[in-house]
Amino acid sequence: MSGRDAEVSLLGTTPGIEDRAGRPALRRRQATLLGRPTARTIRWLPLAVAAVAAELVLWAAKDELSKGEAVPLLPVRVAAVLLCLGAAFLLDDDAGATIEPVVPTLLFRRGLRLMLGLPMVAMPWGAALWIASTLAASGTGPSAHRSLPAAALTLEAAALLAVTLAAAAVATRTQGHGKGGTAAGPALLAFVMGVAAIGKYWPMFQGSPAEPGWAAAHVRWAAILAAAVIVLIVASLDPASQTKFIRGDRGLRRRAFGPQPAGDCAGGKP
Amino acid sequence: MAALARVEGRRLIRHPAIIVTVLLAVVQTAPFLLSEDATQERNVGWLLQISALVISFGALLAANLQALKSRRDGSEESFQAAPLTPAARTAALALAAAWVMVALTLLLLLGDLAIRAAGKGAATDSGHALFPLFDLVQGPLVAGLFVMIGIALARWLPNAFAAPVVVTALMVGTSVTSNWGENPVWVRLIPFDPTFLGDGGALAALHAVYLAALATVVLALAIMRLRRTPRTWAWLAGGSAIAAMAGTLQMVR
Repeated sequence: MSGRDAEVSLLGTTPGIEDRAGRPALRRRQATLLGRPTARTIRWLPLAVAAVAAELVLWAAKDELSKGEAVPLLPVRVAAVLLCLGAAFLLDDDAGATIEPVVPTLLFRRGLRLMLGLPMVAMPWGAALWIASTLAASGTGPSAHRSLPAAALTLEAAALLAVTLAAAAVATRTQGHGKGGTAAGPALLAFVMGVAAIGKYWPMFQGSPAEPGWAAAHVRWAAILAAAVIVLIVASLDPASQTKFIRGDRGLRRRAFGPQPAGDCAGGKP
Repeated sequence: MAALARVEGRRLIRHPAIIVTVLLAVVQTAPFLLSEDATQERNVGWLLQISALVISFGALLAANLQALKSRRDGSEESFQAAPLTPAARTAALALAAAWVMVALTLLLLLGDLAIRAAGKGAATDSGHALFPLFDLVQGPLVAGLFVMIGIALARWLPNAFAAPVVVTALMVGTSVTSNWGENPVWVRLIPFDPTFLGDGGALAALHAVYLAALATVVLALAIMRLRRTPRTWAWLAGGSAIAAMAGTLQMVR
């Protein structure tokens, strides 16, 4: 199919678009066409700086990681927070207002954005875990205490990332395009400080898997992850959707997409 | 400039970053007020010191976001037509730190009174029934310094990513130095000096001077990004000299 034909097809002028069975193929084609432009609009620099900073933190803490009975988890957690701060800008799209009227929904476009961006978060996180576990294994303590709880730490990092992205999505919806990262960074720090503040009653940042509340804390992290993912999805539903659920707060939509006159465009798109 | 400082100050203390951190400080402190014995916390002064630090982090973020607002909104060019120069607007934003400092002082006083009321007259680390003067000075001065850091970051690294990273670094640095163990003498050189409450009048006064001088240096650096005049150089040199002197005296005493 030529580029022109593909564009016509994506605009929904061919009968195939109406056919729900053909939707996955259409989505694949949309993803192929939108992949490169989406990658160009992602702000990679904060993510790259955050990745370097995360590895630097582990390098700076190499002495602490390789000595003592138990592996100190603070440097790995700091690396996770730094990576999340970099990922806070993943949803920022300076061209967001321009592409609002395109056929693919906001959820699809955001999903594509995350599909491109999240591997770039996962790679430095994997590297951070590898560095930390290598340093921990080189320690002098008993081997049972020197292993890094990688899965549990990944759960914590995933929850922090989900909270960050959910905050970015909500901020983008309420404040406008390109402002998600600005709000998500401080929101993540507030979340971390909040978690630390209530740590006396619901400890979340446990020191080692040997501590009694470790499993309970990670059940709470899983709950936070689930809740944040739900918020992220709800905040990423297309404002032009006709469902009552999404149209519930018209005030929010107006603020996000500027003042609109009564009787505006169909579907609420500007 | 005074009028702008008033407006910026009001916006600063109503910024979500500060409101959220104030709420966090309350959440952190309230359980001690409601517990059977508020004196269980070994040093109630420490509790308020942590609250002041948390609010100071919020102040850094708020000042940074506020200083970057015109850039974020794309209104930098419009401001060039305004009678105040960018350097004067930076100075006005810095003056707005006074609002945060006054608000924090009031909050600390309230917190102290509340802890004392709930703790049936528990003494602070300094052994006084109420906070002595210097215990109320450190928190607000740290908040003022952090506001300056937020503004300077906005001028030198105009990116919303920088301030959260710096706050993370400060949080980690504070955690590390607070748990250092034996409190070596160099911890007096960090803004959030964990030995402050036990240091006594002279050292506490030196630390207060040190913090004020550091804030002056950071503000001069922020303004120098926009305009370098003999006056800003003089502020930078004066602030650096006083900070160095106060820092040295803290180390040798």
